[in-house]
Amino acid sequence: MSLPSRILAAGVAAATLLSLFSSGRASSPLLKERTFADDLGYAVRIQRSVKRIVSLLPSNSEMVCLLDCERLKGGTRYDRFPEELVRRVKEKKIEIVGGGFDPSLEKIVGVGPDLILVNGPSQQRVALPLKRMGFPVFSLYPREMDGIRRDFLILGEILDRGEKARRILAGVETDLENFRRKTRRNVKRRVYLQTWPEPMITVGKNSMSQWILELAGGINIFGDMPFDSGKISLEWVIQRNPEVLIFVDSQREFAERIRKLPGWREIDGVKKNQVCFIEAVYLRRTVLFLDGVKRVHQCLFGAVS
Amino acid sequence: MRRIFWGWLILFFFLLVSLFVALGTGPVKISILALSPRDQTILLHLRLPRALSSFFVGAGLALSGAIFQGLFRNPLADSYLLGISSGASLGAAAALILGFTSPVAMFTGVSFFSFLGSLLALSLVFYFGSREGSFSVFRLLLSGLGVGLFFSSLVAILMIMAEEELKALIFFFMGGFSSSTWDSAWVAVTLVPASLAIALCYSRELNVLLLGEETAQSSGVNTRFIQVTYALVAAFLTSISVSVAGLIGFVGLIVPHVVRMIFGADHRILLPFTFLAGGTFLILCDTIAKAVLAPSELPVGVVTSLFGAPFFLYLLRRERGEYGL
Amino acid sequence: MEKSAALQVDHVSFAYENERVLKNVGFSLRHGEFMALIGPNGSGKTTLLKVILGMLSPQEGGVWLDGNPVLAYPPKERARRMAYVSQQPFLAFPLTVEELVSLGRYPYAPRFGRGAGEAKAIEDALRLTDSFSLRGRKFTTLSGGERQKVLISRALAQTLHLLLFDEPTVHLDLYFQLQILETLKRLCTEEGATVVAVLHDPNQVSLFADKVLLLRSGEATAFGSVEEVMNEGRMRSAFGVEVSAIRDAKSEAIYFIPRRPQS
Repeated sequence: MSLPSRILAAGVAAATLLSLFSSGRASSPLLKERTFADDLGYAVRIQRSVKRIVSLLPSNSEMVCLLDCERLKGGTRYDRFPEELVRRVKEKKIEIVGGGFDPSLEKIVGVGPDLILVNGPSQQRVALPLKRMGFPVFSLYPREMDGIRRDFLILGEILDRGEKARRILAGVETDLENFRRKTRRNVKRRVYLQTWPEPMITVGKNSMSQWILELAGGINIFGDMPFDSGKISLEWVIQRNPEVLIFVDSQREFAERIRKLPGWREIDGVKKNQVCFIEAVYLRRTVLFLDGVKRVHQCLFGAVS
Repeated sequence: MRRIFWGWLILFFFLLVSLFVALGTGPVKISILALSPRDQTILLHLRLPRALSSFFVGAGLALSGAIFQGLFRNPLADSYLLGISSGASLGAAAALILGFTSPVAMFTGVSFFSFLGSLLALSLVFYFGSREGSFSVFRLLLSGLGVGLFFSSLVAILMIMAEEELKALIFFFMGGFSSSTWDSAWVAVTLVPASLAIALCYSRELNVLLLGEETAQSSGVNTRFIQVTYALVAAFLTSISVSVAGLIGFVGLIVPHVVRMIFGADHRILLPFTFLAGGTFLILCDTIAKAVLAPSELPVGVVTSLFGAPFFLYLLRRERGEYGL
Repeated sequence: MEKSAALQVDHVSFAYENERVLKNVGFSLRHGEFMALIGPNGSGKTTLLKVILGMLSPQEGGVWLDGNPVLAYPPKERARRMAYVSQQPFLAFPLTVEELVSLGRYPYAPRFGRGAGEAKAIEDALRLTDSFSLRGRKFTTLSGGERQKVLISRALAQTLHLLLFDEPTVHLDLYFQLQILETLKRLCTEEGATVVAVLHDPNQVSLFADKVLLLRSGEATAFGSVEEVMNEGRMRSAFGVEVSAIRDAKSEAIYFIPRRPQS
């Protein structure tokens, strides 16, 4: 063989060997790196022992903290759960690197992360420079309900806390089963969930809120709306005549006013004073959604023992 | 003369048809013959104020666009000159983020602050646009650009700081009448016609102003008074519209053009016709907006552009040499 | 002051902020006279017109119109006695000729509706410039010369008493230049109008003007008839150009032939 062909053959052989080692999720303890496919389809190489994680999405921060809070070193200013996270932020053990739209690249780099968790397309603007700087950037943003469970398990794998992840999920499943058993006899109630008063905004198909509503025994009267959330007019609410109205967060004043307003008065739920208030946190994306379900159930039927 | 008579007739006819369609469109099927109390409530307390709101907001925006075009002698002027949209946006954003959402007088909290914001922008524009007590429309325009840009950047900052309220803010910006009741409609229904009355008083002077400030002055027009009055009226009209219905583009720019193409540039005819045409146009657009994506709604501004732009382009193609272009 | 003067400018000085634009300018015109206002660019001609119109207030001196101070008239009354045609505006909107000329009736019109005699006045004004046939056309579709005639008609619809023109013949071809100046001249001789026109062409001045005011750096260097004011020496010192003044044997008019600058 001529020299160039020899070099070419050697190169091909080397590449083949390398790819054998780096493809798939080889879990030999000897390997220092593993590759995972993230939600955007990128194959990301992550160290075996990830120690310093920065999360740019509250739902991811929560998941990391549930699995091993000590390894979360950076979060957003909107991270609120779990309590341990909030405590660690106060103790300055977790650095706030900004919001979801404007995280500070400098702060992120300053933390010295070995894994950065981002959401999908909207954070690519920061993801790309971080990737170019050599950081492993992993996109994790569940869209459907199953996504949360799946992402939690993947995160468990990455953090070598697979067992704990499965345990937590199993616990939630059991609690959910108990809950279902106790509430099986409830007749489903038609619900209007309003997330914003002016303009009136409600939740639609495939939104987390609707899923929680349905688990709790409610029927979202706007379940046919093909958006996560959308603008609605009073006439539609009147026409669909919900039995219960749930207002998210600080709409108490608004809710007070509507009792006296024409139009609202026509709605069964208003007539019978079936109006409930619920904090937005109960409707957040999390594996611990059962708290939200129970809270909504309380609104619909009264407390569950 | 005949053209004008027929014009009135046809416009009024369209207005009545649009009103009828608007009142008849909605999720609840209502028949005139058998009105249950619930139907009455829906008609009188929801659909009627919504139709009136959209009429007067559309009329106000179109009229303000026509006035700005005449004032600045520029066919590209629209209702959002003089920094008004930025001021209104800032007011709305501030209200949402600081939590001032409870109603004030005839406005909702957000509308009220949006209105204040636009007035603030307007006063700044006049303050910076004047020198030794005299204005020139050119300076006002530049001042409007500067103030507008500054306020826009403030809005951007607020938007970043408040991701949670962002969605509501975006809905506000996209504009719409989905929450329309008599509470919000009164503002437009009373203040807009009052502004029209003032605008009509001096339409002859506005005509003379088309020749240029110097020529107008030499004809005996008190140009300063006319320009300030009209600028304030137009800005006021736009502020009301934005605070009631968010940002609805296109109406102020295009409706006056179409009316001008058909009826000419004499403001004594242009202004009232633009008023009527703008109102009718927006009623129609709102009706489409609420029907297309039911139960959700399209933002009205999207509908106005989607339907208005091709029509305008078609007219532009037909007319020749209108603007010396 | 002369009671018979249509227009009297008396020792007028005017300054913009700290810059003196007019210094002690004075002249007087009788009814029916055509005065050409000439001078190099930047000599203050437009400013003088604005002072005469009452748009600018002189720091010293004053302007008398028909025996009264110009600023004593209320604006509409002033407009009924004086009309101004500035250099062609860019008209952004498609007004018809008739609509445009009707704008000249503003000082006479009631708040709403048409004034009595408005239609007749518009027609007369159009006929004076021979533009009646254009009345239904859109202004933007007219040629440069036609536009100028229409703009003049607007001023004529406003008044036939004192007319002020800032460079009425610029951008026009030779035919229209002469036609328009001829029209203005006829207004003076037949309708008794007093005309002040800023002109750049010395030959136009010679053919049409009764009186000439030469402005240089804000000062009225000379005022009088064409012969008195325009001679070779003055042209050289005012404009910095060499001209030969030649009297035409047949018509007795003076023509000015400019000579090419020496290299």
